[in-house]
Amino acid sequence: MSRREDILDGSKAERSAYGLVYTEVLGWIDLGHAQGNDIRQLWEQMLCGEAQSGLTYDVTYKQSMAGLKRRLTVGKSITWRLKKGLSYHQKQSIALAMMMTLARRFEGLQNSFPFSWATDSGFSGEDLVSDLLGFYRVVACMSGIFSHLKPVSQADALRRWDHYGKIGSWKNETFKPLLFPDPIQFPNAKPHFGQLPIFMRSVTPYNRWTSEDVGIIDPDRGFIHFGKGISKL
Amino acid sequence: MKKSLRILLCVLIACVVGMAYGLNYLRMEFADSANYTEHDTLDYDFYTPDLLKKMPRITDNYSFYYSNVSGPNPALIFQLRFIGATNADKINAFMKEKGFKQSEACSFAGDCWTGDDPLVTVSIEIEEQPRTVLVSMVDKRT
Repeated sequence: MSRREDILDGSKAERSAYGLVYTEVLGWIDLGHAQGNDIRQLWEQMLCGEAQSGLTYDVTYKQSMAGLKRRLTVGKSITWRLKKGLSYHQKQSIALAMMMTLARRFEGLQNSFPFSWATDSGFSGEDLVSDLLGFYRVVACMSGIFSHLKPVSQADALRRWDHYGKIGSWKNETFKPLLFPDPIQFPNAKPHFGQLPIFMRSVTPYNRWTSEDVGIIDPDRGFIHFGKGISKL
Repeated sequence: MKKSLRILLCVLIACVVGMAYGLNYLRMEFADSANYTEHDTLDYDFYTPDLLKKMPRITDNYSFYYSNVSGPNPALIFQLRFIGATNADKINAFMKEKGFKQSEACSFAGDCWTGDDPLVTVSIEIEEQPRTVLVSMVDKRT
């Protein structure tokens, strides 16, 4: 979704819920993707599930895009069945696996016709790494997380945007940071993949499919909701 | 021309027009963003919420920005940027008049306002370089 107009000064990253900042560690970050509210909601489902009766409970993770008037919402969701009593670390690992699985599918949806005609957001260079940052903002319990990511000033970020072009044209289908070297210091450099910081590698996505801890109830649901729209403000 | 051929032609034209209309609707509905002024009538009418349409114009130099955030935390963002002013008193008075109350929960820096629906917040940010008053309305209703 990101446009040049969305670019904020790095000093505003911590207290802004939307906008685009450039960080030397993770490259471009879409603050809307990096809020972590989706992970908080998933975590709440797990806590509620643990409090219910029965041996298992279902959790659903979704991502969506809404039309302007909310007459049409399109998205993807997955539902997994979890055995009760899994450890804190197992739950983190499951939440990460659900987010990573669905985020790729949702970006794929945005990258397909007819949505690719309206938006260049599908697999935009900053999307998946921003989703991952949102996950770690919730599970890492770190205050001032952007101080570890070296956000740059708005002028430095704009210089990168103007030199390399819009981030939507740089596709990234991985969760690795795509870095854009400062064109003043490195005039002939090209964008390249960086490494995730240690705190963003502390959880491994769940993959113990031979165990019976997790079952897949709904592996890949695409949804379109037709609504009546919402009241104007 | 045979009657059946005329009917076929009419159906074909209707299909093409319908498809063009549908695709244009999708493009406008799902557009990532739009940057426009009040003189861009089509964009102004389509994207601008009434609250920003009725907001007092504290300078003659102002523009609008619309952004549709998709993904894990979808929201619609509507911004109105006044260039050449740093006094937001008239806007603050307007927000009170519209029933908004100052609050802590905000999606952007600046003074925050919340109305009856907590999912809709407005922040008013003042910048000195360049002199700007930026009104940002975030709508998280889904």
